[in-house]
Amino acid sequence: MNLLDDEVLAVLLAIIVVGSVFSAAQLLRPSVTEPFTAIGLLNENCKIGEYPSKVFRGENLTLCIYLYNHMGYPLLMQVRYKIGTNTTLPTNTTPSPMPTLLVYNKLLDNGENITFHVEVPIAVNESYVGKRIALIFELWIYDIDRGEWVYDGRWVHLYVEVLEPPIP
Amino acid sequence: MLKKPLTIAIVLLLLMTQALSIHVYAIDEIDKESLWNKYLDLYRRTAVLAKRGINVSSIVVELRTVLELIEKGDNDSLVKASNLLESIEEKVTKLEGEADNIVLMENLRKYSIVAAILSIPLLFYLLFPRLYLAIWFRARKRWTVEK
Repeated sequence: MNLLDDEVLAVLLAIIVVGSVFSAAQLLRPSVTEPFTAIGLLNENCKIGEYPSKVFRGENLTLCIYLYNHMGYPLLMQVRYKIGTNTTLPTNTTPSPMPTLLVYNKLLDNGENITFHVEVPIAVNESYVGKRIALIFELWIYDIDRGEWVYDGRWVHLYVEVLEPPIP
Repeated sequence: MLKKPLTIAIVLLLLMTQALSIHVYAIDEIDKESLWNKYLDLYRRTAVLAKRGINVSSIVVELRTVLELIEKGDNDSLVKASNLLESIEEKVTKLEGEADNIVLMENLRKYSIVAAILSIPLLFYLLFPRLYLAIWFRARKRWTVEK
């Protein structure tokens, strides 16, 4: 094969042109093209599945929360724990109207994720015994432009049935 | 006779020591609210630097440590957090001062690499035939041509 042949040279040149343009594009594109955040609810072993379905009123339930930051800059994230029902769940735009019972603050650099245990109280009164409640975990982020916490539009919840605690 | 004044003196000494220790504790007491506000301000400044493309990963690690200390909430942790925030503030202020230069140098570096990569096809087109021929002739320089 004669490498100086016009056709061979043209093919080699085409491969090199495509390769160099692709490499240059990789360098020029922004590191984060589609920013997003993520929140996940895991069981007490920090695994998906085998979530508790029944809880005792007043007990502390151990669960795991997963957070991920892909916003392109460090993100101060806050997980707010609330107890609600199917009528007081958050939406993509509004948080749950129920009061915040616990708050977890985490700082994640871009591309980082974290999984951490939470011990949440089943703080409901007797009227909820035998009923289904939702343990709600909302994701809030600190807005650096507004200088305040804003609801991110992401949440996770777990439905559990409340039982009366056993008499000791 | 001497017992009573001595007892009074000891009691006074003990009271003074106690008062002094309370006073010292009050000086060391850190206001959690102001510490948290300072933390939020430093986080905001760090995030702004990160958005400009400046590497702030080491500062983020330190801010994470401060967050843990603040959440612990005891006085020792708050004192440590306050000290750490001071050093973080120095670093952030320094980075903010150098930000324009860092961004300029980073852009120069990036676009130089892009220019170098994009010049490869042109260099190949110009140099490859000459290089190939040079190697071809060098490999065959001892060859003799037979009739």
